[in-house]
Order: sequence, then structure tokens, then C-alpha cells
Amino acid sequence: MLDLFHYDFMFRAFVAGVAIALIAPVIGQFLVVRRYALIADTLAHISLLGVAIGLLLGLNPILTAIVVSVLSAFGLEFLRSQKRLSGETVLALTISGSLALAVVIIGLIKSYKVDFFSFLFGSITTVTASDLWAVLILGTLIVGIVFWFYKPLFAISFDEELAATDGINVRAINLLLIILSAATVSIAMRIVGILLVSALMVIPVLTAFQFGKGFKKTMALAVGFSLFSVVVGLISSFYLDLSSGGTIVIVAMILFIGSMVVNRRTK
Amino acid sequence: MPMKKESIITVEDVSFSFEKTPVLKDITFRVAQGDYLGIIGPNGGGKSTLIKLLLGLLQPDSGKIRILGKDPSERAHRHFIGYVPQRMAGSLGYFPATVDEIVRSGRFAQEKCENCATDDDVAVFEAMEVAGVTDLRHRLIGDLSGGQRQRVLIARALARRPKILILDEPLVGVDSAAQSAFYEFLKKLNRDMGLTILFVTHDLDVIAREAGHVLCLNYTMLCHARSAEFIQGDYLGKMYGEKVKFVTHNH
Repeated sequence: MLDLFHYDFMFRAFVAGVAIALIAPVIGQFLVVRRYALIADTLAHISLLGVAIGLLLGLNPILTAIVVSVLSAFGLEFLRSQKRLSGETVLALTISGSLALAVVIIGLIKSYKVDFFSFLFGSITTVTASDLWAVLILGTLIVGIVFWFYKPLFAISFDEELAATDGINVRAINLLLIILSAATVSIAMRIVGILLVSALMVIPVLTAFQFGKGFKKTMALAVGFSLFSVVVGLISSFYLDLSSGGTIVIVAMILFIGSMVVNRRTK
Repeated sequence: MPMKKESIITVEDVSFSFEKTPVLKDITFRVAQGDYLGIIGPNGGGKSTLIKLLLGLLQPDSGKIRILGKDPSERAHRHFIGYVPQRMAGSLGYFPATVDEIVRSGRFAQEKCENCATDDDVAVFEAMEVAGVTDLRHRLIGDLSGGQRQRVLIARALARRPKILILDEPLVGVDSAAQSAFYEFLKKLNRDMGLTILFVTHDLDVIAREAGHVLCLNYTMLCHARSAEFIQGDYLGKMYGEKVKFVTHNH
């Protein structure tokens, strides 16, 4: 077990993984209860475009992914609030559009293969020191913002109209939630990969739902399941030489199925 | 029209259009403190729009609304009104929150205060006691019956210690036994706590029996009368067509 940490990259992957495991389900829960789970996936595809731009320009891809996805978050919220297109249509358009752009841009880069695939599927060996700092600083910021804005975030999740009567600026809080989701997706993609990042935001929350607890306890349980999935997933992927993202999500899925069996609640 | 008691809500010549479709025209009425006002009218008649105007969620195109003398969109005035929205109770099955968490969220409208935590605890406890949901406080909202959920939403509204309680068709999907109990509960809130109640409903029979006054809306205001006068008057014909008559029966 200890020889795991003889490798610097493994230490970095663990620290980043734990930070991501703490944040992803917290943001994920606000999305899942509003049936916005697909937004995480959409933002992941947008992040891919950000990564492609970063790799093309020789910038830190995590930072470009955050910038691109946060900017897109404004666009998504604008389109959603216009109500001319259904929410689902906006997401479908964005997923295809950003993926198409990302693929074209990646085609322009000559030596993309190794780095790019690590972003798609997650890789523990490629977490750099600057990635780690990005994860820690942004992670702290995200947790701080959620803590500070917990009440309005809870209120808009429960009912937007009621929240508005409480004097909450519903549009601003919706935008804040999408920006937080975009930032979470961007920092989580190094470990779990763009294709699986939404799974880490959604599956531990669904697992926690099975226990029928209140909002805060469900969130705490989801963080617990997420931490367990990341730690067990990372260790397994190290010793068994497996993809870190895939292994983490498989562990999360096993926990979900287990929770369904244990908590066969009658509704 | 109530004249002696102090007016808590005044609406003067209010008109509102949604995009280019006129919804309400020249609405004028006053609600006295402690009144129980039933608001009725056909679908699309502007009932919910009027409520949104009173809540400050929409602004009138013309005219003036005052709640306790202030514009309803002023944030400092939010906590005077407790609101229970339309079709809410049926859609909570998926939301993972306890009754305590939901009722507590009713305090979010409070301004900053010195002893917020203690005030919040006391107000939440009192609201749950009044609504009779204290025993349910650790249960998930999604696990409750329609009637119980509705009481939780009332407790949420009461937690801010409002002066006015506005309910927009709150009993959709609630069984009739629970509905009777709910009306009794509202009457008690109105009588014993002096809460001003505005109740939007389709149930003409019940509103004529329960409410002190009735406001009929269909684009314009067709009546604002005491319930007894409403039953005797020909307001239903004006709103729904000639063939609709009042049939009173006691449950």
C-alpha cells in the first residue's frame, strides 16, 4: 500500500482525487434534484473544447477548459431563460456543437494523442503540479461558495417561484450553479476523464438517495460514497494497471447497485 | 366592502399584459387586515397573475399595488407574505429533504438579525406546531401524503411569521377528507391568529362557505363582495355563462 506513494504522480493523483471526490457530488446533488443531470455531461463536452483550445495554444488545458465552459455556462443559461428552445434541445445542440469543434481543433494539433486521450478517459500519471494547484485552489473556492450560498441554492432547487418570493435572485443563483458545475467538471476531468466526469457528479448522489435522508445528510453520504469510489478506484487502477476514470466509476456503480439492494424502500 | 378595519392590501387600477396579451384590466380592491378573501374565476382569467403581482414577481403595466403601504417588490417586505404555490404538493416525491429542512427554508426571506439562529429555531418550531407537522419533522417530504405535504408548505409559509397568507389552488391532488380538514385549519389560522388569507380556487361552493369575501376575476374584476351577497348575486352567470348556478350543500 505504502509503495503507492513512492511515486510523486500517485501522491498528486490522490490529493487531486480526494479534492474532486469532495466537490463533485456536492454540486451534482443540486443538479440531480432539479433533473439537470445532463448539464454535467454537456459541460464536460464543452470542457473538451476548452482542452482542445488549450492544447492548440500551448496553455494549461484545465484553465482553458474552465474559461470556455464558464463562458458557455452564460450562453446555456441565456438560451434556457429565453424558453424558445426546450432545455433538452439546448443541451443536445451544445453537446454536438462543442464536440464537433473540439474534434476539428484537435485535428489541427500534430502531436496530440497521449495528452488528449488522458483527458478523455482520465489518467493518474498525468496530473502535474500546476494541475494539482488548480484543483486545490478551485476546489476550495467551490466549496466556499456552496457553503456561503447554500440557502439560495437549496431554495431554487426546491422551487424557483417560492425562492423568488423569498427575495432570491433566481437567475443569478441559477447562473452561479452552472458556473460552479462548469468549474467542477473542468477540474475533475484530469482524474476521471471528460467522458466519465458527470458520472462522479451523479452516481454517488443517486446512491445516497437510496438511504432516504434529508438534503444535508444525503449530501454527506454522497461525498462519502464518492470518496470511497475515488480512493478504491485509484488504488485498483494503480495495482491492476486500469484506466483510473473507468475504475472509479465502476466502483461508484457497484456502490449504487449495492445501495439499491440494501435499501429496497417501498414507495 | 370592508371599511372599518385597516387595509393591508390595496390594488388600484392595475392592468397587466403578458407580452401583448392583456390579462388583467383596471383591477381595484382593498383587503382589510384579518380578512379571508376567496379569489375565483375561469382558467386564464388572471387569478395566478394577480397573485404574482401581489407577490412582487410581476410588475403591473399601470396602476399601483401596496402591501402594508409598500411596493410588493421591495425585498424588506417579502417576509410579510407567506405563499403556497399551485400544484406544488404533487411534485415533491423526488426531492430529498426533511420536513424540518423545508419549513426552515421559509426563513430565508428574513433580513439579517442578531439572534437569527435562535429566532429561526423558535419560528420553525412554532410554525410546525401550528400546522400540526411537528411529529413529521424528520420524515422526507416525498414520503408524505398530499394533505400532509400541503400542511408542510403552509408551515414553511408560516415560519416567516407572515401577516398575509396567499394560497394558489393548494388542494389539487389532495383527497376530499384531507381537504375538509385543511379548510378547518385555514379558518383557525384566520380566526385565531388574525392572519389575512387570500385563497385562489375553483371550488365555488367551498369558497362561498369558508371565505368572508369573494373576488371574481375574468380579465376585469366582476365582483368583490361578501360571501353571502356573492351567493345571492348573479356573478357566476357573468363569469361562466348563464347556465351556471349556485348549489349549496354541507359536507
